[in-house]
Amino acid sequence: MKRKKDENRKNNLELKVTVYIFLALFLILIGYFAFYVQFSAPKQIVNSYNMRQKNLEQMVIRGTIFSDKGEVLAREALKDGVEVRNYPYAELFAHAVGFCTYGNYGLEKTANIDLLTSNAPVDERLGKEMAGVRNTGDNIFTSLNLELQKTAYQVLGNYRGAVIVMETETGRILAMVSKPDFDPNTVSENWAKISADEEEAALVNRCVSGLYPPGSTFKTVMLLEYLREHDLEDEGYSYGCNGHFIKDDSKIECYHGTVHGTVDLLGSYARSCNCSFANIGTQLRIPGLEDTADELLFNRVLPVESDHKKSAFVLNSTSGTGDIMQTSIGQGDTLVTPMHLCLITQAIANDGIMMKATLIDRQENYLGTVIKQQKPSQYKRVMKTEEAQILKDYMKEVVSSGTGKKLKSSYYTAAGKTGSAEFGTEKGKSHAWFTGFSETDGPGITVTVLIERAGSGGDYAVPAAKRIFDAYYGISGL
Amino acid sequence: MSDALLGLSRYLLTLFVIFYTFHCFVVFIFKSEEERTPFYVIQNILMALTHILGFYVLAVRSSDPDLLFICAFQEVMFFAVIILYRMIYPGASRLITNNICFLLAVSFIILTRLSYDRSIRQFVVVAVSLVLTLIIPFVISKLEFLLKRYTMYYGVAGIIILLAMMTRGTVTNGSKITLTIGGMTFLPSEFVKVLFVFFIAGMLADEDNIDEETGLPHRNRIISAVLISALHILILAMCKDLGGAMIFFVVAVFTMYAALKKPLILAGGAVSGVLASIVGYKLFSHVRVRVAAWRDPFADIEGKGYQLSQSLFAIGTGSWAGMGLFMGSPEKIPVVEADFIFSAISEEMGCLFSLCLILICLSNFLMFMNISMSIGDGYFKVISLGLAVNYGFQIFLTIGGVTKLIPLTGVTLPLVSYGGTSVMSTLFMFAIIQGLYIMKRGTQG
Repeated sequence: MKRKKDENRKNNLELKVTVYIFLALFLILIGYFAFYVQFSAPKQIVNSYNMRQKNLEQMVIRGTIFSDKGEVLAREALKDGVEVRNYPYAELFAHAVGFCTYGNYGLEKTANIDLLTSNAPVDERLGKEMAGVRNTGDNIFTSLNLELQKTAYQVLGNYRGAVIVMETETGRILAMVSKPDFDPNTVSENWAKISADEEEAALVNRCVSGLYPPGSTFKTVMLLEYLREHDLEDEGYSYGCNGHFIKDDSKIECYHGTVHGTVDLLGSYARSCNCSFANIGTQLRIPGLEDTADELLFNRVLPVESDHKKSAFVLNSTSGTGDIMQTSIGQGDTLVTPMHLCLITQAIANDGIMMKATLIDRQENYLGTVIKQQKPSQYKRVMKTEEAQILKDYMKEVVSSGTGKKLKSSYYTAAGKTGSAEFGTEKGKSHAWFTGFSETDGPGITVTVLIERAGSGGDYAVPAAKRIFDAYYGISGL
Repeated sequence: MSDALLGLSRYLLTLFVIFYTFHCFVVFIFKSEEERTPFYVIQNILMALTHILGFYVLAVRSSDPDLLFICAFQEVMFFAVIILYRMIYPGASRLITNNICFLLAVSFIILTRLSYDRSIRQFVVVAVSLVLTLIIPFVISKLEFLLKRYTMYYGVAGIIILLAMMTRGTVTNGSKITLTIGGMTFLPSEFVKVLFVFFIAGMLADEDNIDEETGLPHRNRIISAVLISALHILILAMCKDLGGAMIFFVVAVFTMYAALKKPLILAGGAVSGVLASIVGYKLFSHVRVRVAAWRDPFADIEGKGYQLSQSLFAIGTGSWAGMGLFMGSPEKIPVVEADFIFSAISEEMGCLFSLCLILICLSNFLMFMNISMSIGDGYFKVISLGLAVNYGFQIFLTIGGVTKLIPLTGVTLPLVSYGGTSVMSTLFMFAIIQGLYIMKRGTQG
């Protein structure tokens, strides 16, 4: 009898192994499924192809979007007895807040599921479900500041362009403007008209999806690579600028043919000498430059919640001298989005640590209970503290003696880099760039301004940025 | 009041299924069926509550009170099965009978939601199959000694049926190959699965054909078993029925392992499985398409990745609580009622509900393996193990596929998906295991 039992037990060894293998398979399946539902799905279902988001509206009244100080940016309202989405500031937040009336766009897209989720008290929710009444969706508090947004909006005037204002230490976006724009209140009625003009491209948020030649703002990347190849030592460099630089049949000129004379590295950067940087470019290790560009997120996804384009950096070891020279001054096939440039600048100002750019501060249920609080989160260190420190000093020099002089202020210390990016084949026309930051006792801000076809960065983008810094530090009438 | 019940229905359904599932595992604590009885009765009540509440919601939301009659018919059928099984086969596993009824009840709810006509058709097939399953355990025990005699025929018949399917079958949904005989369309591979398990068990685990010295069957028997298994799998792969081919492969590996007791078989199975996957990937474009859609379904969201992205959207939007019956859009998923039924259930009845379904399926598998372990006779042990592995692996393939854990293979969720052949063959498999259980329980150990 005992022998038989033993034998039976031995017979079952294979079965036990089988049971364990399948238990493992089922555990993986269940664990994966639970993880998917809890963590992956919320990110995936905001996809604009997910028509099911509409189904949620049968059950929940879409929540309200607020500015940092509690001004309503988007809400449900009644118009002629019909529920409509209302945007009190119309065009002002067109790209930042977006719309949900003709597909979803902007924050209305990124926060769609949160707005359509009700975290009202359980008894209330059950009560309403039992009564067949819709529950009230959660509210979203953004980091957008009405005053700064207005200023950013005004400084662009009638130009096309983009302005981003970001809190340097946290990555919170305080203002985000892209022009041309549209009125989100009437976007579905005017869809055909708005979407027809591809040249205007009013439905493109230029901050995150506009790809532009960076112009001289790219010299910051070149400078960083130069410093890395020279043990952070800048003293040995000197260059005699006569207005143009020629190598291997390729020619680079300084902006408007300016002759800078003898410049050191600091002077080359502060006065934005193209010839000097073309000269630097031809001496740098291209693989090293590739690594630095890669570390700064060129050709990569940015730490931004919304849909966005990847910036382009195309040099490699087979690139010709002409391409290298063009890239050195931010022309050629190098392209950036204003958001990307803003993040690089933010990282420099933040001692080398890039933060995740965020628009949402917190999600509250309609009674004001906080459901999700956004904490500032570091994306990663993109350069050493010492490197960031040198770049900061160089950027300060731009303001004190270089192309950014118009930014000088007795109320705050600002620093940055200008750019005048030529585009297409049109000579003499350029996009005006400025990207920079302020440093004072309190938390500073990073500002990136792009004005399409305006002219030089120093003349157009810098004064625009100054008005934003002034507004932030409460200086009016200047 | 009716509104209140309607509003609460998705939570109530989830509660019912959680309690039901809980009892599926509680019964494993107790050794005797007598001690388990109260839990089985609770399960029956929860099954009825789930089924009736589900149909109540369907009837109200679709304004079709007639659905309640259908519900009543189905309810009568369930309890007839439960009571008849208890009367005819007091030794049968009641957990299996209960789970059959519960899974069918869920199936009827979601199929009625998706397509009234199909749910009725499914109901008819289920009713007929259930009547047949009442006889199967009896037949099995009477034919016990006859079964082994035809071992070789099972393998040959399997090959012939699959060949007929390859040459005369028609392709539906890309990978399902159906055969139409006398106006009846069915999936032949579903029945070959059962034959296949009997074949391998007969070839390798028949104690009359085992060499006393080595304890193994004769070499020729092993070789022909391997060759005929490989032929099965090859034909299925050539028919593009990847799910079928994988299930046959896994069943072959585990049954051979259990019969020959050589750990090397598992290792060899794993290696050859990986190699076969690589060869299949290189050789067949439809495999590459599926792998690409699995890697990033959103890359070609309107084309090759459409089905999977819709499935993921359904599961994700439904989330834990579900949208409620008729409140989602499961019909956006192509072949939702067959291969993607799990996604439809997740969307409308909630992911907690569908998570419980996985656990119920797991409890079936564990019960099958329990039965297999309790059987002393090697032949029947291997048969029940083969059927268990078949069932368990199919669950893994289908749910893993629609949730993007693994590439889609296009197999059904047994007892829940729409499909006459699938539900019938699954019910037969369950009945065979019941038969083996009744026959072998208490005869050994």
